[in-house]
Amino acid sequence: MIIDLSGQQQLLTVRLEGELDHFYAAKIKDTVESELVRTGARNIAFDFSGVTFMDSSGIGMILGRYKTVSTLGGRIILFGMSPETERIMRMSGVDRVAEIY
Amino acid sequence: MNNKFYSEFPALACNEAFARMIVSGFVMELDPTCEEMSEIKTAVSEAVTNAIIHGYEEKPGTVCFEGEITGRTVILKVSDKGKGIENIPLARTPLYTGAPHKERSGMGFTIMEAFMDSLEIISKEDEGTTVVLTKILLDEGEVKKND
Repeated sequence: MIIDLSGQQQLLTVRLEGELDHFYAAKIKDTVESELVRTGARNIAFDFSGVTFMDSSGIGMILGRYKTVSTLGGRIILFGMSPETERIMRMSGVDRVAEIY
Repeated sequence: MNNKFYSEFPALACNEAFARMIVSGFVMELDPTCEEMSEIKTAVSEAVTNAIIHGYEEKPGTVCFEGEITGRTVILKVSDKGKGIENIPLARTPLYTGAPHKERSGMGFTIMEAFMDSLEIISKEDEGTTVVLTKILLDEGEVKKND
């Protein structure tokens, strides 16, 4: 799993590449939380175009980040998902708390 | 029964991907559609992750993963000798998790049910859990007709 971060103003963009399961979800959480503190960003955009697999661990990771940015008054944006990933996201109701493009 | 496999591996998170590779290789002989393969891999990933996180609570343990193919029917079993499930109907409730402090979504069993044709859970507290996942793949003729 490759995690590539870039920040601009109050938006942190996280580009993910590879398989997003329980093993990698914890690493993503730690990396993104550190970067939010370092940059002062309060919105996160997750780029899923490089994600080849995701199970419900990815859902937990997204919801955890939603809780974080909510306390900061921010939002979560998700884009570039495969149909399989988007299906799991919508089954879990993530589209109610994050914007999906 | 046309083919079967049996595997055991430590309850380590890195073996979730290994389990996905095992099942991918195993069902490949049936030439599943991309969607069928994705569904099977995801369901297996959920079951193995459950064994690691909930069964063994991320402590040392062994996960057993086995499967068999009969015709177009794939039956997969993921077992652990961990904590067991106190209340199976509750555990199967969407969004319920026994590990909220671990950022779990509580969607594991829901996804397994949605992606497989049947899900059976056999569990006894302090003895362990077995999850049986069954999927009947489309006939190759049906796949070609749908293309």
